[in-house]
Amino acid sequence: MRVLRESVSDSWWGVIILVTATLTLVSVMPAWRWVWSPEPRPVTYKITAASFLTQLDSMIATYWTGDLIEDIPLVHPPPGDIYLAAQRFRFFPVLELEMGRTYRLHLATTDSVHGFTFPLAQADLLLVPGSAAVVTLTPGVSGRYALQCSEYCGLEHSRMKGWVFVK
Amino acid sequence: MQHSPAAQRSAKAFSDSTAEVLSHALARELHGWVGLAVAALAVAGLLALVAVIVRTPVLRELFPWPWQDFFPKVVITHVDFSLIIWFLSILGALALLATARSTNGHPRWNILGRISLVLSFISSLLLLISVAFNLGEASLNNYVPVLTHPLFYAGLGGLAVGIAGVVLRLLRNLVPNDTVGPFEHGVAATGTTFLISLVCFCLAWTALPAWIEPALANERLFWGGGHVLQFVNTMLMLVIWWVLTEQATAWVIPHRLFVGALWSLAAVALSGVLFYGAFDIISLEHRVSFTQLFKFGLPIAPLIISFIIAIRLAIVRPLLADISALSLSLSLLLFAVGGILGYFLGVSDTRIPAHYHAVISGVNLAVMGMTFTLLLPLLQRPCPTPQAVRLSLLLYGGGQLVLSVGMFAAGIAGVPRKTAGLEQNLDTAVKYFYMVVYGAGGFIAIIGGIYFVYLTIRCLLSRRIGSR
Repeated sequence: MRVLRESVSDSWWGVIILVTATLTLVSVMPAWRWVWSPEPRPVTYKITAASFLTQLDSMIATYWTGDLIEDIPLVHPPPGDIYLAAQRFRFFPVLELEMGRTYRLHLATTDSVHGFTFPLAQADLLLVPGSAAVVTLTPGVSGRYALQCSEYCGLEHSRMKGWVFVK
Repeated sequence: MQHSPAAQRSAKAFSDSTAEVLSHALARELHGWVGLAVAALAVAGLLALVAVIVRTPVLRELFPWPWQDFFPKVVITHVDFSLIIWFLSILGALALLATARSTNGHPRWNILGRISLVLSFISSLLLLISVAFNLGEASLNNYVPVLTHPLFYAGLGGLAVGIAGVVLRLLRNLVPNDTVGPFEHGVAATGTTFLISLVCFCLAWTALPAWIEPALANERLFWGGGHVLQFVNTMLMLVIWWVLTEQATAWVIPHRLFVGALWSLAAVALSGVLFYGAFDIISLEHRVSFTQLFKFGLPIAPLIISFIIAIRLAIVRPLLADISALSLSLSLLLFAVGGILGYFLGVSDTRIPAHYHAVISGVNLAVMGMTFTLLLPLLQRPCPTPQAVRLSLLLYGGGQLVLSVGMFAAGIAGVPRKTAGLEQNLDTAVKYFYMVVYGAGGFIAIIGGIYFVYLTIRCLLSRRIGSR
């Protein structure tokens, strides 16, 4: 109590407490990041936009359900490797996944830099042209999940959203 | 027993001791900074009105602008005037007062102040010309949205140099001695943090790769420095809280604690400079490091200072009819609400603007209060009636509180940020309801803001008390 009282009076205690607390919090920032956001770092590999789109188109051609969600094909691929592209200003295609099955989601941008935030996979990634990231996910609860661009990419950025359905 | 000049001055009210050292030339310069600040708000208000016209089908045909891309440009200039120019002009005014107080009204490099003021005015005009002539492309990047045209960038650059000039004059005159008190230290720390933000902008500029597209280039150019500018706004508010607390409770925040708080914030902001060396500017780490700096570096100092002020207000219980006490209380409330909301943000929905509207209105309310209790009296202009001032503060503060809560709830419901009309996709009754709450709060806050601008401009344009 004496320290608290003195810190409110004009003693050096208050300054020491305040400065120490502030600088300690800042210096341990990386640790806080790890504690609060323990998502694993994604695996990345080099691609070209054309090669990635070829794999993506192949998946869509094979597993398209015949439905469109906001003019984007709804695809129901089997567990394993699945593909999703970020393009100004949409994510392509819409994925339909099965509860309790494990998928390796390959993500890439086919034009400019985009962000990818997907709470279902605990993912917050930066998608840079020429590189794809792989995120492993095993959806546990059915529902419709939004994924969003988290890096300003143009005037339509705020509306750049995609969907994943879990059944 | 002899008293030091600082001790003698502290026995007097802050505004009285400041008025004593404000020479005629410095008072004229102060008039210019306050005029620029209020003019920026007035322009921002007019641009907000234009934005409404642009989105209203019948009205927009009456005006001869191309409409497709005009709306975002108006929004961008509105943001830059209402957040950047408004706050930085107030920093200019406070830097002038701190310079006057630390030199007993006889600063060195005095001409620098007037040059800075003129440069800031011209730079603000360049921003306005850019939007009026529909120049460049709109970039709604964070913190400092821009029109991608050389004239607009020149305006921003000129403004940065202008404010840096008045800050450098303060630092040049701020030799540690008896005349440097907590207010002068606080403004010096705030000004230094502003200079740190400029260093961040410059480092970002040099680090941008050649292949980068304009949208991301602007985002990264203003990301780090923009975060540091929010430190500047917060510190500006803390300095004003110091003034308002003295006025409302006749008590000053403990000197060392206050000075330690302000300089520790400057030290935290300085660590942001290191991020440019540590991380690639296009990396996720670069982006996250500055948001982490916010979360862990910014809260402690305002938290402790606001806690101490709140205790003091609870003990003294000043009448809320008093302008200083009212603006201080509302500022504390809005800043606290905004700060708490900041820990529960989404990715790209209206929870983000809910957070920053609340914290920024906390800063605004402090500035509004100080305008009436310090700046206008120092300029010897007749102040509006306390009833009128109270009404503008209550309308603005109450409206912003409702707006922020409504917007935050709408964000949870899934309403995206930076969209209007059909783009908002208000497909559920819940979304619709919260956006109505947001709209009602915004309407009330706008009335309060317009009333504040009207009262202040009327005062600034009136004759000095005692002049014929």
